[in-house]
Amino acid sequence: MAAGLCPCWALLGGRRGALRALVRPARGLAAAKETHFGFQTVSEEEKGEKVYQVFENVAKKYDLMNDSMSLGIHRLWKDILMHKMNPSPGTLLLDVAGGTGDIAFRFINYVRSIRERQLQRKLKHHQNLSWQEIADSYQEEAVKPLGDSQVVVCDINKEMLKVGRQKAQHLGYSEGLSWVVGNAEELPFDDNKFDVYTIAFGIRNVTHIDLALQEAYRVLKPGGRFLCLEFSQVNNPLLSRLYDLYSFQIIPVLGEIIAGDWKSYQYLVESIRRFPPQEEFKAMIEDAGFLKVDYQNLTSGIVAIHSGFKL
Amino acid sequence: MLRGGGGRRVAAALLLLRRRAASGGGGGAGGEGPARSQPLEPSLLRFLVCPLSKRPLRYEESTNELVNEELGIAYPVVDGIPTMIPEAARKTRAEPEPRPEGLFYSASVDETFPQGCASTSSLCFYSLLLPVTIPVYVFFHLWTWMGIKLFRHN
Repeated sequence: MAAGLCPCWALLGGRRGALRALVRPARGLAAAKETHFGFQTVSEEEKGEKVYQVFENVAKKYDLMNDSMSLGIHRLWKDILMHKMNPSPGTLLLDVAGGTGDIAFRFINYVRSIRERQLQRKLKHHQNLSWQEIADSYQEEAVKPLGDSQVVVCDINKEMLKVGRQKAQHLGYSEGLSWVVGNAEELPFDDNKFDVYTIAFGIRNVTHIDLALQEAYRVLKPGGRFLCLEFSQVNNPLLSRLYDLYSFQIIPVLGEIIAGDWKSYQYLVESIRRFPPQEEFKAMIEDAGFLKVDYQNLTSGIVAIHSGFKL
Repeated sequence: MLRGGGGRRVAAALLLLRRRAASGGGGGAGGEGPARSQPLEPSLLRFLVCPLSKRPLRYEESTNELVNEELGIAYPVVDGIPTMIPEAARKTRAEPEPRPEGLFYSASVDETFPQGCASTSSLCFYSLLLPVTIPVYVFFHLWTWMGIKLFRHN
């Protein structure tokens, strides 16, 4: 009996389900395209706005939070990125989502120290010059401490850039540094302009990662390098469990205590989980046209540096 | 590493002064002066283009904006930082008056007819069909008359 009844119910349920299936596409056509914001699902316009608000709220305490969340290790990660980049004087760097300017300042320091070494070497050779050569050296242009290197920091959030500019003034960086408000998906720069493009801990917040990668390809000179420093998947299972525990239990609490904003840091750890793993992101970079794409895991994969060339 | 040494800052400042004297007072450097309504650094101008059309921009000193003439939009420079996002841009020219449209208007008064009516999105495209209505009218009445006269039931 039950067996006899069951098919009827199944049929009714099936028909109801079929009706719902008919209605659903119609509703689906009306809804906007959706994406993820942490573990929530939001429409694409909403994601941009929500991300903007997250960074507007945390801008003033951003550096302090970075230090306390990563126990200062983020400085090492950024230093490793700079050593990997190994810029020479005269390099033009575009730092996207560079907000508070960490990468930009490291770039300037690196280039300055290389330039100083260059000048010192030149001076050593100048110990035994003829009078004519000495007179000629007076005609030379002023010494360029940066060697014409320049870095443009681009961020969609004005508050982050303001904090960055204040930091620059406070630390004494004045030349070779420019600040622009712009969207990584629609960069306000001309084609084939920059030697290096970096995006540190920013690309997971972009709504359309593929558009950002295409723009990166566009603004780089041929021979230019794309470098992305971003949180990624941990490959060690034990460390992965500890990392999850730390991320979900401790980081939002730290966010509440230090920055007074639990939700922003909840978004942060969720967005890290939603970001594609190393191999998938490498495929996305290759899709944008970059060649010799490679990645380097730091701290067992908590962070990865992806690198690609426009050739 | 992050903190520039005091001596180095002085040296950098001296170099800056020498450079500025040599170049005859270039654009405002980021390190000095009040941050409010700072003019744009000229070095940035070589890089910036409109994010929408990727065409070069003109810097308008009076309003402190970067103007894209073709699209008629201007991007503001806030605190010396150019805001190159389309949401922040303002239109520089007023919207053109809506032209009256209509099939007969396009055919009779409009100067750009018929060269300007190539796309199907404009109404004047369909005014090219107007001459066809005359033979259609003639044939319709011809066949109606023929039908009535020749195929009458007895």
